[in-house]
Amino acid sequence: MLLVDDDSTTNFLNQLLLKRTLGLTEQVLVAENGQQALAQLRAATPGGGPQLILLDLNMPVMNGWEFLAAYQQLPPATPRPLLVLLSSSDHDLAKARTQQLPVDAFLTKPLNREKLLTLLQEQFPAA
Amino acid sequence: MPASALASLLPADPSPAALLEALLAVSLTGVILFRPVYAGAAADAPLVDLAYEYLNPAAQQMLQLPARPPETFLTLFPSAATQEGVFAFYRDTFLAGQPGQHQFNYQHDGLDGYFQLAAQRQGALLVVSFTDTNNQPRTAAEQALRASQAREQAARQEAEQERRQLHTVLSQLPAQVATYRGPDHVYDFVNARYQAYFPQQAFVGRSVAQALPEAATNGVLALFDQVYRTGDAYHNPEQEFWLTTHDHPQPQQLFLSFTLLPLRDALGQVSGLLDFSYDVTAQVLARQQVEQLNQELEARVQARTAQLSAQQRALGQILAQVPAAIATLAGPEHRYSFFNAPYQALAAQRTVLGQTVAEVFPEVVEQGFIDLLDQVYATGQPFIGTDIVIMLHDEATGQPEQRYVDFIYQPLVDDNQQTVGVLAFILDVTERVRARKQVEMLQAAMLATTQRQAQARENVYQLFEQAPAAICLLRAPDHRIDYLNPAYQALFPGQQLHGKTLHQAQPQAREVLALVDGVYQTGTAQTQREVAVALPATAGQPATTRYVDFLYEAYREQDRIVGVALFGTDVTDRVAARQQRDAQQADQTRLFAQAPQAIVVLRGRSFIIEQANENAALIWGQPVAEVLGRPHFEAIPSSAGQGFEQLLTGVLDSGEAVVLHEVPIELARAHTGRPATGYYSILFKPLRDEHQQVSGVAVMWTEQTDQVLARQQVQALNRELAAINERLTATNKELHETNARLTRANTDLGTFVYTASHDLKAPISNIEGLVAALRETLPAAVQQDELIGQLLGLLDNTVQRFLDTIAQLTDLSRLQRAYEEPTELLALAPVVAGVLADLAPAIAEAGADVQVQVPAGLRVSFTPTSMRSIIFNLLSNALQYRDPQRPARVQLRAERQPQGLVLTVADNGLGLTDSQQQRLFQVFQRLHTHVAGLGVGLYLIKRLIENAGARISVKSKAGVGSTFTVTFPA
Repeated sequence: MLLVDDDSTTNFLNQLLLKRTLGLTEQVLVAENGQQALAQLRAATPGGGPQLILLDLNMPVMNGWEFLAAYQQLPPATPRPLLVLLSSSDHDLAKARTQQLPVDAFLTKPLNREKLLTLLQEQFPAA
Repeated sequence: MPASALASLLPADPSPAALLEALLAVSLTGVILFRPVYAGAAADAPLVDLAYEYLNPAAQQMLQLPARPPETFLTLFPSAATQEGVFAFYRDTFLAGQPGQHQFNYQHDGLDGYFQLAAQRQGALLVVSFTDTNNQPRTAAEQALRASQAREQAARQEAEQERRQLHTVLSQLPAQVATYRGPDHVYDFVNARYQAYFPQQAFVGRSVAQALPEAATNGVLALFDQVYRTGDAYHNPEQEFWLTTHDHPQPQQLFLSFTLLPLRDALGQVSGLLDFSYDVTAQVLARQQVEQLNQELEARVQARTAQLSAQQRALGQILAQVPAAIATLAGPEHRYSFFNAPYQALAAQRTVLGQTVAEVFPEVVEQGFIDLLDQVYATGQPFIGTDIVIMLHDEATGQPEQRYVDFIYQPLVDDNQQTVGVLAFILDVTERVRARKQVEMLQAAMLATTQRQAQARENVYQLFEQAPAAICLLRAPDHRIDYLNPAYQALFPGQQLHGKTLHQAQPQAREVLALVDGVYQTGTAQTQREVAVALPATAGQPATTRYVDFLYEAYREQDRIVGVALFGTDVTDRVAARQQRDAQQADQTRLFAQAPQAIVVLRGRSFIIEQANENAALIWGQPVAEVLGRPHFEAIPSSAGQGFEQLLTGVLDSGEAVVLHEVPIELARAHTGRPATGYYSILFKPLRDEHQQVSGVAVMWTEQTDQVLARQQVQALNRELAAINERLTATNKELHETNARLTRANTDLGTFVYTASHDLKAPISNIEGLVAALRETLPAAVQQDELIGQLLGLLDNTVQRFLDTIAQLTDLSRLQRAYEEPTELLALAPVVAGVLADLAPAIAEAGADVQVQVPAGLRVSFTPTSMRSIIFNLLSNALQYRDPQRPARVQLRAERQPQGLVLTVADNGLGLTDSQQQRLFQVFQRLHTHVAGLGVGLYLIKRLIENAGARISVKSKAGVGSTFTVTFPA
């Protein structure tokens, strides 16, 4: 699980939400920008990478767009992680939808329990 | 002796007056005091008589007069004026102022005595003392003398008696008698017959020259003077006079037997004249008649006598001088018995009586004349020869000469009819024959001349016929057309003129008739200029008017006027040229009068206004007629003193034109309503005479007062406008700056709103999350606490409102981006369908009946995002503000109309009041409080619509519903 957001409160709340909602106890990785996220993804052992990535768009150093561009250059991980784009801007989200991005879901900030459950049901109908 | 001495000698008494009176009374001599009588009042008037002032007793006794007779001296003693020199003595003594003495014998006027006179002037009086001798004894000699004197007196009286008788006789004579005295022939006496000729005339005392002034001119006075001077009587038994009298103003012829005799005085000197005449007019006239008859008779007799003697002389001359040669020839041998001088001349002086013809004229024998004589003699038949050639001996040359003779050989017979001789009558016709031959030659020459003249006449005729001038000859007093040439006929096409009188040919032309009459009668040529002759239309020729100058001249034959010749010259071209010139002149005059400029012609150094048009009069404010012919600055005094005198003089001097532009001129023309100060553009142009001398100035000018004033006004306005413009430019610049600032501020605001909505969204989302986390984290007991529950609820509400605000701020920030988004030709139906899909939950919740009518393929050029926002907002508003009292119905329609694509969203919701409708599209207006929202939506879509050039309007009624209409222009 990788949370990529420059807002530490958001990261904290999302982390809390994921733990309480999903009862997850495993380690949640947090990156403050795309560069850190890329570094963590590269550092992960094969097969030991995150299964879910929540990516913000608007970030310093390397924003979400740049990260996505770089992420597509990485060797594909197995299993392939679920990548969810999170943004407070509908505009950015609408824009992202129109592009060929390796994104599985688009969610408007803030992330809450209902959105998360809906997302999981959509992405893992069997679970 | 001086008076003072006398006074001293006289005794003291008695008084001198008494003494003088006594002295005069006792004086034995007569004493008279005379006072002179003058001819008139003038200082130099002559002394003509004496008045008696006083006679003393002795004088009274001697003169048998009273003491103071009223009569004058010459009245009482008229003879004293002429006899014995008494009056002259008195007069001269008085005038001389010296004492004088005079002695005389006076036997006139009833006095007879010898008088001694002493006289002296005393002041204004003449004192005369005199004595006569009557009282004294006379001596014997004196007695004898006196007796002699008495006899003389008696003789005189006798003579006087005779004179009187003579006078009576003279007066009664059946003749005119007058006597004249002195060299001036002053009438002394005129008898009744004389006077009868001049009943009104006074003669006696006047001279002939005075009484009969005509005598000086008709020579009678000269006769008087002649007789008086020479003393020789003049007599004319038939003196002719022409008498003019009062009764006969016309002069009457008068014949007088007129005698002027000299009258002599005692010394034989001529002292006067006697005129004795008697009227012989009747006799003279009778005799003159007889004489005239006699003269006529005598004239006739003399005429007859003269005639007879002339005949005799003529016969004699015929005999002697007749050019015929005559001779008689006797016997068969033709011996000359008579010949006359011409015959002898013909014979060259050879003829001798008794010789034969053959002897005298040997040369004619051969020519057969002797044979001819023989034949006449033998036959008794006369021979008559005419123009017979004969060769005769010429005496002068001695040669035979050819002569022509007419001759008759007439046999002479005796009583028995036997031929005894021949009469030769020979006429030398040599000269005649030669003359005839000459005449024949002359006639031939004349014939040739006549033929030439005929040819010349023919030439003249042809000249007239072909002359371009119209020529017509009128003959006789009735002006019969005797000749007319084709040019004249052309003026009267189709009329038969020849042979007609002028009156017949042109009955209406009375003026011409009178003119021709005048020329015929007086012989004075006349002309008519530019007579219009109307020519009627003919085939191929329209009717025209020709102008002709006519000359009428008397036509003479043998110096006698026999007619009138007309010469017509066509001057139509000249008239047309002049008419054209006149028209041009008129054009120029009209141009001058109607020219848009004022035009004035000034002449001379006083600038007389020679011409001016109406525009000039308009500017001056004075009629043209009032200023023409007057000096400019006198006629328009207000124009003086503004420098134009010098300017005009300068133009005259330099001959160069001057142009002024919009100069101000003052003119007194308040009455015209024009401003006194006008502005004018003026051209001063020098005018030159035929010698190229500048003699005047043409002034052409236009008034530009209105334009100048208008321009001044415009300039003032322009200055104001420029100032305003400057201010506006400054304001505009300020506005631009403000606008730029506002634009920047707007951009900043948009950026701020976007940034704020975006940047605020994350923290508030975090707060929302934190609150939720907190709520879950709190122990159940705490969560059960009422106050905590209330606080958490308020916290949730506040966070939610914060989120809504940020959401709307986000919408607003979208406006800014909408400007930048490109428009596209957008299909409307898919957009509507998308919105309806989004709103499906809300529609379901509201239980609304939404009907959509949007034709497929309806497209509009618009931004897709904005279009979606507009439709979303309108539909969501319709659902949101539904009336809970009734089922909501929403109708969305789109259609193309002439003004563009019209989209309407109608609902049956709450509706809006009028005041609500006015505030409807303002930002943050929420008209209904029971529903959620911030009131940003309508403001937003109105901005989107209007920014794209479209319009949105609303019709609404509270409690009924609202209809929003969006119109996208085509």
